[in-house]
Amino acid sequence: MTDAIAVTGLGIVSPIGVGPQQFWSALCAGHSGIAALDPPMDGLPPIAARVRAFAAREFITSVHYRRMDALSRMTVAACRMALDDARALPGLDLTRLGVVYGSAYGDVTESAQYLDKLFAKGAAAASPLLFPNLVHNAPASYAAMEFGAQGVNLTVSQGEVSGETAIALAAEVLRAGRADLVLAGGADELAVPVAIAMRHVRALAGQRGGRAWASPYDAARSGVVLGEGAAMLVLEPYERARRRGASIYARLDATTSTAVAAPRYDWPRDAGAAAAELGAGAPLQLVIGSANSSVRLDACELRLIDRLANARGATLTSIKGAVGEFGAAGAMSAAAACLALRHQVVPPLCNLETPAGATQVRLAAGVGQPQPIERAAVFGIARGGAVAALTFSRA
Amino acid sequence: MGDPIRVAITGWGSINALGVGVAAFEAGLRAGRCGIATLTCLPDDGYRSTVAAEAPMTALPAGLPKAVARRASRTARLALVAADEAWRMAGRGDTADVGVVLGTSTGGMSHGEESYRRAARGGLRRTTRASWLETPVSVSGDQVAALIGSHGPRLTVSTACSSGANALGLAADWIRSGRVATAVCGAAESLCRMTFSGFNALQALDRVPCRPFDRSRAGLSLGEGAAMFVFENWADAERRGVPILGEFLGYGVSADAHHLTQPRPDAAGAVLAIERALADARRAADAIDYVNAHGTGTPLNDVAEARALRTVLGTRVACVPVSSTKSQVGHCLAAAGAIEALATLLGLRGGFAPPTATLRDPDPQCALDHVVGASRSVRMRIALSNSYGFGGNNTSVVLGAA
Repeated sequence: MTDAIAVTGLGIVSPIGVGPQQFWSALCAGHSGIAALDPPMDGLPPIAARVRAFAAREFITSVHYRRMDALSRMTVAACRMALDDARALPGLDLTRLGVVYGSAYGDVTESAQYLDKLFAKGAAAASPLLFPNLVHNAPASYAAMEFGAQGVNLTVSQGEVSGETAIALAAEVLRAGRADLVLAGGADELAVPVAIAMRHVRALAGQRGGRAWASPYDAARSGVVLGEGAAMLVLEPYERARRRGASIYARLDATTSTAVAAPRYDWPRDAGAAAAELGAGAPLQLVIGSANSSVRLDACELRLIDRLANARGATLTSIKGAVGEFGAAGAMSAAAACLALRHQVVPPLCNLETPAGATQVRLAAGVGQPQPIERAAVFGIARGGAVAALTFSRA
Repeated sequence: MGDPIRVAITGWGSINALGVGVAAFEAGLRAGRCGIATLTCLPDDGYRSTVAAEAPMTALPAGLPKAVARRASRTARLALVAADEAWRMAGRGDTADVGVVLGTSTGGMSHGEESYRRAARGGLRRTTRASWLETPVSVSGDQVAALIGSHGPRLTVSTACSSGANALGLAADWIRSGRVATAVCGAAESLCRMTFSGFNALQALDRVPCRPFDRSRAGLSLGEGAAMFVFENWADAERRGVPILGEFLGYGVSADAHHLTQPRPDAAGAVLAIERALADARRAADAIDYVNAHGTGTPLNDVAEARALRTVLGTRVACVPVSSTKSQVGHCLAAAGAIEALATLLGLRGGFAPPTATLRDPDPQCALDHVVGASRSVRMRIALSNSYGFGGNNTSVVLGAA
C-alpha cells in the first residue's frame, strides 16, 4: 500500500458556505446557493450560484493580496483553509510542498476587461499590472507565493473535469515521489464570457422552456445553472499522514481519466466506452456525479453509471443543484465525497421531484441520509469528451 | 521490481518560424537562421516593438473531423500540424489507449479575441457559437486526441512558459508508471493580441530581434509554433523495430514562490529544478554535454539563468556549450519548452549544438560557453533544456541521444 494517498485537509469557498463545516452542513440540509442575481448583472443569466459572504482577506496575509484577482483569492483562501485543516505546515519542507490546480476557464473576468481596453484604446491602454494575472497558472503561483511553496507547481485544464484531472495528477505526482504534500483541486468563477458560451449552445436552465432552476437527474430538468467556487484538498502519502498523526478524511484510491470520443461541442452522447474501465473496482456505495441539470449530460451520465459493474445498489447524488456548474466543480464533488466518507452521510440532490430513469442506482433525495459508505466515486464528464473518475475509500 | 521503464522518442513534428516540419527546423538551426521579422499576423495596436517570429500557416492534416477542421483555432492548427507529423513518423497502428498531453497557455485565444472584439462593437449577436466554444485552453488537446483517435488519458497543462517542458515530463511519467504505453505530447502556442500587448505593456519586448545573453539585450521577441512528440515505452519501441530518435531521461519542477513576472535573483528555484531533473534522470551534472537555455533576452532572466548554470556546472561552465533557440524562433511561450526540447534532441542526434544566432557581444554577467552565430559540431550524449514561466515556474528536462 505504498501508493495509497490520504486526504488530510479540505478548503472550500462555495455558494453555500466557506470552509468544510459550513459547506457540509448546508449541503446536507439541502440548501442551494442558486438565487436570482440581485441586482441583475449585464451578461449574466437571471439566476446563478454566487459565492457570498466570503472575506478573502481573512485567509490571505501576504502583500500579494492586493494584486490577486477574484479567482486567485478564492483559490489561495481555499489552500489556506486546507493547510490549516490538515495541520500540515509545521515541520513541512516547503521545497516539497506542491500545488496541482485545475481550472476550465481561468481569469476570464479580467481577460475580458483587459481585451475591452486593448480593443477600444490600443496597446497603450493595456495594463501591465493586469496582464500577469491572465495566465492560467496565476492562482497556483499566488498560492506558491503565499505559502512559500517551492515544490511542483502545475496548472491543468480539461473542461468540466479540470478539478478531477488536477486531483488525479496530484496523486501521480505524490506516487512518483515528486512532492511530500500537495494542494490539489480547482476553481472557476461566474463570468460573463462563460455565460455567453452557454447561452450560445442553449444550455442554460429555462432557455428551451421549462423551469429555470437546477434539478440534477430530475426528469423535468431544463438546463444548467452557472455557479462558482474553489475547493482544494491536502493530499499526502497515506503512511506519512498516519506517521504524523494527521486526521484522515479518506483514502484516494484509483484515479482514472479517459477520453471517450472525438470532440463535440456538446456533452458526449454516450460515455459507454469508459464504463468497463471505471466499473472494474470494488463495490461503490456512493457516486457523486457531474450531473448539472443539463438534459444531455445528465442522461449520458446515467447511462454510464447504469453500466458500471460496481455501482449496483449505490446511491447517486450531485452537488450542482447546490453550487451550480463551474468548470472545476469536480474538485468540490471530491471534497463532498471525503466529507461523506468521514460522516457516513449521503448529501442529497436539490430539487429532485421526478427521478430520471436510473435503474441500478438510488437517487439521493431530501436531506442528508446516514448510510454506511466504504467507497465513494466522483465522476465527471466534459465537453470535448473527457471523462474522469476518482475513487475514495474510508480512512 | 524490474528495471525502470525508459522513455523512447519515436516520432516528432514541428512548426515554427523556421518552417513547417522537422527537416526545415533542423536546417534553420544548423544554419543559424533567425526567423524573427516584421509582425504581420496581428493588427498594429501601437506596440513599441513590431517584430515577431511568425509560423507559416499551412494546410491542416487530412482526416480530421469536419467540425475540427473548420473551426480549429490558430493554436490548435499548430498543434495538429506538428502532431500529425509526429504520429505518422512513429507509425503506430493502434490508437485507442494513447495518452495525449498538450501544453498551451492561451489556447484558442485567436477565437476568443475575435468574440470579445465583436461583442464590444456590435453586441453578442455578432459573435458565433463556435468562437466561444473554441476558446477554452483545453480544446486544442481535445482536437489532437481527435486527430489520432485516442481514447486514452488526456491532459492540458498550462503553466505559462514552462507548459511545454511540463507536458513532456508528465507524459514521460505516464509511460514510466505504466499508465500508458504510448503518449503524444508537446505544446503549441500562437501569437495573439492579448500576449503581444501584455509583453509590450511590461516593456519586455526588444525592438529588434531578441539577443539572449548579449550585453545590449533589451527584452524578448515573441514567437509561435508547436513541437509534438511520440513517447513510447522503450521495450515496446525496440520490439516494433522502429528507429528510436532520442530518450527522455528525466525532468524536475520547482516554484520560485517569489514574484509573478520576475525570477529570483539568486536563481535558487532554477537550480532546484535542474537538480531535481538530474536526480530524476539518475545523472550527475558532470554528464551534461550541452544546455539549451531558457535564454529569453530579458536583462533579469539571462543573468539569473547564467548564475544557475554556474552553480550547477561548477568549473565545467567554461566548456559546456550553451545556447538559446529563442534567438531563432522567438519566445514561443507555452510551446517554448517543447520546441527547445526538439532543438536539443536534433542536436543530440545530429552532433551539433544549435546557436544563439543573434549573440554578438556576450554580457560578462552571463559568462558561459556560448554557441555564437551558427551551430557548432559537438558530440554529445546528454543535454539539459530549461524553461521558466510567469508565476515563477521552473522546469528542466534532461534528454539523451538514442
